[in-house]
Amino acid sequence: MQFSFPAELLYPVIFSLTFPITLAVVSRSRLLRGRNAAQFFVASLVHLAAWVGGSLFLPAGYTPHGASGWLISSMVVGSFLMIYLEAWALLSRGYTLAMLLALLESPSPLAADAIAARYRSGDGLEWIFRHRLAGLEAAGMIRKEGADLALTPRLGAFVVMLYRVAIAVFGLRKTG
Amino acid sequence: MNVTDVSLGITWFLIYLTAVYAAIRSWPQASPAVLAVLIAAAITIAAAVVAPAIPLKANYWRVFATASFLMLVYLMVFGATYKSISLHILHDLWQTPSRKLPIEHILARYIQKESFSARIQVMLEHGWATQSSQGITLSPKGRWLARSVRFVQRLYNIEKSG
Repeated sequence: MQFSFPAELLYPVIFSLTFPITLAVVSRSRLLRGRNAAQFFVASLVHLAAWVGGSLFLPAGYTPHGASGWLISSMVVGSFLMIYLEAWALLSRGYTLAMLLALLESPSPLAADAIAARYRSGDGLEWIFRHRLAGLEAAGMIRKEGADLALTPRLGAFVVMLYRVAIAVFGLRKTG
Repeated sequence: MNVTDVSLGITWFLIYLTAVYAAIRSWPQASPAVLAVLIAAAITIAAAVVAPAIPLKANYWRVFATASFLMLVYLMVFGATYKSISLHILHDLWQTPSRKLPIEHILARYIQKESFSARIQVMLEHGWATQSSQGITLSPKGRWLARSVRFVQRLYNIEKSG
């Protein structure tokens, strides 16, 4: 097995390092203000389009060769995007980090209840709950039935089945 | 040649998958997330050491790109399965005979008790915060972390997070 770095992977690697700039520009769009998931999604689409477009104009030897060359190059770009997504999710949705920020904004020590009340700049801890439930409801996995929350028989049950398969495949004993 | 690279990358990933499964089952006290990340690092180092001895016409970096991509996909799904509150709620609804639970019960259990208390514990255990009779306050380490996060959030126009 040889260790020389393939020229066709240079562009995907170097170009992927510029994604934070694309994301910073897109996140300033007024249309996407406050919509963190959409900001990342749009930035990713712009990035992917620029990568494919740029790849077509590279000198010979630097362009991906054949279907498997494109596959490996796209996996490089995809790997970087997943790392950025993980960091973005932490910054925009991180539960513990949001609690640290609530403490940072307070001039004095806070009781646990006060941290909960000041969570997400005063939206309160219930916000995370309502937000997650709204997402599940919009996706058709749960529905409200009066004061109860019910699992939908098809999609909800199907997702739970996949979840149970994933727990078994990963060998997990405890989740959540 | 690329087909060999991709095939070797898939093999590398399958070895990783098996090793993580075996480690999680063998050391139930250890954090599965830590095991998954540590094994990814260990296997990556081991692959670099073993690669020169593999008598195949392949390129290490292409194999590495394939394996890394698959391992990252795995870690994303693993993270969601291990930590997602939403999936945990769905699972608990499924476990009840009627497939439903009172909303207030879910709120009290997941948000106010399990998840919130666990996060407070994480902050204290990592030394990001300290607890006194007056309440919880940030440690110098926690203050530095929170300020760094706030700085990056401002850079990316993230006004609210959580």
